[in-house]
Amino acid sequence: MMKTTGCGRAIHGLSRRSFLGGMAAAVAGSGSLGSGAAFAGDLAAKHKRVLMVFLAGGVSQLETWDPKPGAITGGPFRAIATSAPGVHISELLPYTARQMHHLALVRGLNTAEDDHGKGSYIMHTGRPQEPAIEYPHLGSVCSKLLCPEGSPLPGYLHVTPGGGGGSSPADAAYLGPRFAPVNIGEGRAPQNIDRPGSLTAEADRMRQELRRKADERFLATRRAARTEAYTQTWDQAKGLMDKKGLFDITTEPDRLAAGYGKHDFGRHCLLARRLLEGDATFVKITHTNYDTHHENFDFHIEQLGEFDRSFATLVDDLHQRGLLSSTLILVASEFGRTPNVNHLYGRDHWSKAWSVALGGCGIVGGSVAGKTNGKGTEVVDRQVNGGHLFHTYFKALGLDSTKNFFVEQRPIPIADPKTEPIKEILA
Amino acid sequence: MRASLILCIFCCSSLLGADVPRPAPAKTTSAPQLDRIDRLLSEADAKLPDQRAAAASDLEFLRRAYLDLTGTIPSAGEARAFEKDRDPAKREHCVDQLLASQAHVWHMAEQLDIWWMERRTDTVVSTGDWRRWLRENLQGGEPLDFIVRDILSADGLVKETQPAARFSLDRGSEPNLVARDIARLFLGANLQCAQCHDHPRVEDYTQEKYQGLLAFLVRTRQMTDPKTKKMVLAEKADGETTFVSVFDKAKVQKKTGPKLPGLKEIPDPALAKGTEYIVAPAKDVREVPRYSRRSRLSEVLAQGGYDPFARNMANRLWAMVMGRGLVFPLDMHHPANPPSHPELLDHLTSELIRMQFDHRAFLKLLVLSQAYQRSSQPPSGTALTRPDSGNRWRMMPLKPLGPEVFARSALQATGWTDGEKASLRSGAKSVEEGVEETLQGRMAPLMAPIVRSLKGQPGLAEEFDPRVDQVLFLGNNAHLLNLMGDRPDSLMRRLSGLTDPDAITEEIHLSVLTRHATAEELSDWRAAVNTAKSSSQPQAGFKQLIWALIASAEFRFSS
Repeated sequence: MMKTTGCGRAIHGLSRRSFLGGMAAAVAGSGSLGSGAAFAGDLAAKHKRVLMVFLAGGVSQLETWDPKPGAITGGPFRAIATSAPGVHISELLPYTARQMHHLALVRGLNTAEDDHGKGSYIMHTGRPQEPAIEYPHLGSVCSKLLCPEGSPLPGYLHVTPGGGGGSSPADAAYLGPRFAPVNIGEGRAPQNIDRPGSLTAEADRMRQELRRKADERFLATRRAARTEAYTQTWDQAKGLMDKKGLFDITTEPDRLAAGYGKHDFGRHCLLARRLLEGDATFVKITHTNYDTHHENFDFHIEQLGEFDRSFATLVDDLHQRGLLSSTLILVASEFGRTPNVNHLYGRDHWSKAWSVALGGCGIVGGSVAGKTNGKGTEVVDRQVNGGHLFHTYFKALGLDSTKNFFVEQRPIPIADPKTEPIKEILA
Repeated sequence: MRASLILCIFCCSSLLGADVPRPAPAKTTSAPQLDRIDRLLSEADAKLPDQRAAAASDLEFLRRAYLDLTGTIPSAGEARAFEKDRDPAKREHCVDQLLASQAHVWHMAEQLDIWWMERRTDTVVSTGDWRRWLRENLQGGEPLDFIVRDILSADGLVKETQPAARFSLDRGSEPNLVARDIARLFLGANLQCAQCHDHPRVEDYTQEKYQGLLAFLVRTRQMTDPKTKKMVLAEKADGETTFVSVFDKAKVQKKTGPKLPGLKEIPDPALAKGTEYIVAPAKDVREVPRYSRRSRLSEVLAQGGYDPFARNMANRLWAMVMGRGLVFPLDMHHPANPPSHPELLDHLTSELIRMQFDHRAFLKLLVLSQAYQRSSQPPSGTALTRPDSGNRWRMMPLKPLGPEVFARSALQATGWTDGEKASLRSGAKSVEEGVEETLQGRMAPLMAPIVRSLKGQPGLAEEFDPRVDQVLFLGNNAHLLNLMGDRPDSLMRRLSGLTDPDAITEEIHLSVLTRHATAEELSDWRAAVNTAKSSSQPQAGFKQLIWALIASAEFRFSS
């Protein structure tokens, strides 16, 4: 049974009404965010950063970036105008709509992979899984290419939602454990980040020196990838301890924290801004529960309700602090969702014609690349895949996307050579 | 040779039924056996330059054997005694002692648990009960194939094997999950993809193979026994397996009876109508079929006559002590992924069968081989690289300590275990089993925070996964330092009694790293030791010195 639009179901009407009511209140209450201390000058000179927002489960492009109101596949929601002329997105993202002049959309994405794990792999590595080689995740690549030597923070930070689902050292693949992600569980400062009270700084320094010397001697003849992975964690620990102040979001002004939202994702967004401001190179945050095989519309109201305001606040905050021009933002999922609505009012996995959003460094705000047909069942203009996206990310960051890594003298391109950057959205 | 031939025949006859009494397994330490492993390794590497690491020193061997066989490092006292021992057969005697010890039983049960349950949370059977059952069987000399047979056939009702049902019950007895894990863990074949279609990349893993295995399990289900209120397995006398490949556009439906990879299909016996059940199915009744496909699976799979089972077991036991399987990954046995040393794996498989799955005999064979007794350092001046994978065992690979082994070794290194053993001995407990149980009981809560920090996600194979939160725990949590207290026999007590700074450095190195400090290390440490000694609280200073070595890479890995 196919769900029709404008179905007049009471529950949808109620949701939209209360939703719109909420929006009105938000409009009244919004003002400029943050104290607006613009550090434009000195920060612009610093290194490039990346913010990856992963909407786990597969967010529906029809309920976000590529709405089709009135189409038989469009669902009950309308499209709204945004701060980018001619660009309309779903009415479920009113706050983000006012940031569209910082953001670009890629609507012609076809990754041809409907499996969570494999789809996630494509979006994180820019390539489909291959039997002979593991490709590194974007975070590890950016950590390697962008993180300044001797930077105190680990290059690839992953703020994980509660209870696991963190990235693994395997993400760094052939780049090595130095570029593995460091998981920040639940957006809190890592446990045991403080020295025990009984241990003075001097005593700690002395014992670390002995440990380092012991490792130097032992590893002179036994160095291996696994021992590197281990010793690396001590360096990362020191870096984290030196920068532990970044994790304390309670020092943020209350109004700003409220703007981000007093829920996990809001707090993670605020933490992400602090980390990026503190010179983190690559920060990934995740919002979950987008795998809406049933009750797609209600779940998207809920989830995007959280996502929208937090994400918009984050974009604006980065802009106000002069960080946006040096921070590449990307909002992605494993795949999108089917135009067809199933008998549980859900949408299923769909990778044939979906969207991602980019913004910030090197991206033309308000631009759109790619187009889908009236029902959203096919890409009709500028079809791209994960490879194109990766070229685009690197180009936006000022890197040569045709470069190679060399793994045991074997050249491995950092992005799929069969594809090229999406020029339409690049500055 | 004739004796072993007779033994072979005896062996074969015992495979036909589980209740034939077993003769004692043959001794396996004749010299030709020991060289064979090394010969097979080097024959396969004939084209490579003949460079091998030097033989491991006595202390290197001791630490390695202790870790692999008992899951902890030796004490400084044990190290000194072993070094002084002039007996030319001291390594063999040491291995015999370790394999006969209670510590080995506890360690082996723990390793089998992690291997077969992969840290799944307890839902029906507690890990404690399950490990106790494993220990009882290992202590009683039950060979590994019998243990696996019990695991696969346990129904949760029979008291003697109830904990063994954990394998199925704590997987919800979901037939597909159980089938997948039986294939991975007992047959070394990751057939996961083959549930729905032939494996896209491994030609050998067909859907038919998977479904044939599933057919043994598809009649089994989990239920609450109405009489005992326990969760048990029940099994129907009917229920067939049909399957369709999701890649097959024609959607041809296929059938299979119970079938193990490489063997013929096993038809259900013809039973007269009305006799299919011992206890017929009814509401709130646990049905019991006259012929159990699940029991049949346990008989046919878990025995030496079924090569994939024996081969997988041999490969995993090799990996346990040698750091990496001959087939790698451990669950990817198939023709396109041959063993690194095919003849060696053939030899080890037939040895394990000949030993009737006596794991102690098999481990002893490995641990007394020349390959095992090689240093982890390449000979100086050679171009031998240090690979992590593709090791040819020309030197011993570094092996990261598992979470429990690291925790137990940390307790030993800090001197806590010595102090505890001393207090237990003075408590006049004469039965060794009881002492070990008490000791393990006291160790467990102290090990727990370390294990929690180091272990991986449940449901996944054990992987070495260094994370920054682990070293933050080791460095900043007071847990480790609190174990270094001063009491009889503890390391701190010994250090407090020493005046020479070099003796202090030496005692710490021997206790933590099971080796002597080099001249360079003695010189480097002198200043730090003297600073600690002359301070108002020398013990606080000593603690940091002990910590520095526990935190080192040398402690983190077995080398």
